[in-house]
Amino acid sequence: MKRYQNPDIFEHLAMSYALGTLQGKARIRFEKLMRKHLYLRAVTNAYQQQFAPLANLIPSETPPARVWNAISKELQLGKAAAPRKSWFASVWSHVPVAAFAAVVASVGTVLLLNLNNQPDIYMANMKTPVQQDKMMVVMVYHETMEIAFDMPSGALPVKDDMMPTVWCIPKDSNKPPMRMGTLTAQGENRMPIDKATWKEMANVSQFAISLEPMDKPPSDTPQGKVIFSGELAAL
Amino acid sequence: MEPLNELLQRSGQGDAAAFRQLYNATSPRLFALCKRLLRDEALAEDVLQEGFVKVWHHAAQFSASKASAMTWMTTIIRNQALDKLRQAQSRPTVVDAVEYESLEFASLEPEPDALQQMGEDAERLLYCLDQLKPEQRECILQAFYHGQTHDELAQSLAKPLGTVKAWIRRGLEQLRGCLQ
Repeated sequence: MKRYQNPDIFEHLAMSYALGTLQGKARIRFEKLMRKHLYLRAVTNAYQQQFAPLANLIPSETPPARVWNAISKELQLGKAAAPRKSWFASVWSHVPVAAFAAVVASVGTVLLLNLNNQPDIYMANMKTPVQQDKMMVVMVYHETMEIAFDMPSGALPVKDDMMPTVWCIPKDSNKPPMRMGTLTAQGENRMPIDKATWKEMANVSQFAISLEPMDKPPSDTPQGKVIFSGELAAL
Repeated sequence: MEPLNELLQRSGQGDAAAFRQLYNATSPRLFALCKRLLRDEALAEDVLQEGFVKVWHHAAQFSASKASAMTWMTTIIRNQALDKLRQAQSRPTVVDAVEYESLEFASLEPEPDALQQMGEDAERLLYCLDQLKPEQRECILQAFYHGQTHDELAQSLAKPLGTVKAWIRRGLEQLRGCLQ
């Protein structure tokens, strides 16, 4: 057993395990030892976490729908997990409304393989500017080429004379906001996007929603009150 | 809080819709990893399914202060894939058409934006990989992506087993020093 108490040996074994080169009987033996010895487990976990970002370097590939169907069936998730159904409604009462970090740790790595590659999904957590008491999630999907809004009921005010209007704020502050379209207070809110708009997401820093007066022609910049805003991050 | 961390934590509280969102956001990357490790589409689907079932059952144990959600899930699913690989009676052979094998990324200068968006740990790892000799780096990356044993690496690189073992050992030693 002393062999495994020598850091030079056990660290090398932990790294080999984390990398995957420790295989066969040696791997099983090491797993048994890990169950017994906390320090072995801790070191191995640390190396596994260090290697994990390598997964972001390979091009992603959407699995067939049957995989989710099988997961959902096995876990008996049922209707609660219907695609993109609002998940805020059920947990709204205990959501701590805190700002999401704008940067996702795993975002940029894939860019190293090919700097022109974009991620498959962008996400923004939007909240009300002052009270920050309401929030909604915006997902921009490459696969379906759409922007989907996920919000609790009542997040958008129902006003006959005002239209909730979606804007993308470019990272370059010299460029004007892009008007994306309008939302309705009820029902599912999705917006189809074209290739150029998807490409442009890489240059967007924030999503915002303003209330624009119905009786005026659409403007190139928000004229009304901004009711939601949030930073866009790549996933 | 990072969006994925939040989704994983909500999954741990039994929020099935958050789990679905988490699956939508992470499964393409994890599926790609499974496919590379197992080289078999059906096995990769099985592992992805088993992995996400495990993620659901263990999500309550996730602690955002220890790792990011993506890192945590990658570790679970990759281990699941390595177990499956170990159980497989005949191990699949690595096909030639794997374009990242002689990974040139490590010598690329990432754009400032990309650097800013990467986690510090990932940046450090790439920096340390860049410090390795090309053959050491290639062995380590192939082992990560393909789950290859020393023997298999020696075969696919057409090098003596002892040489490959030495490359990996020295590579890992150097990596360890650099990562610390």
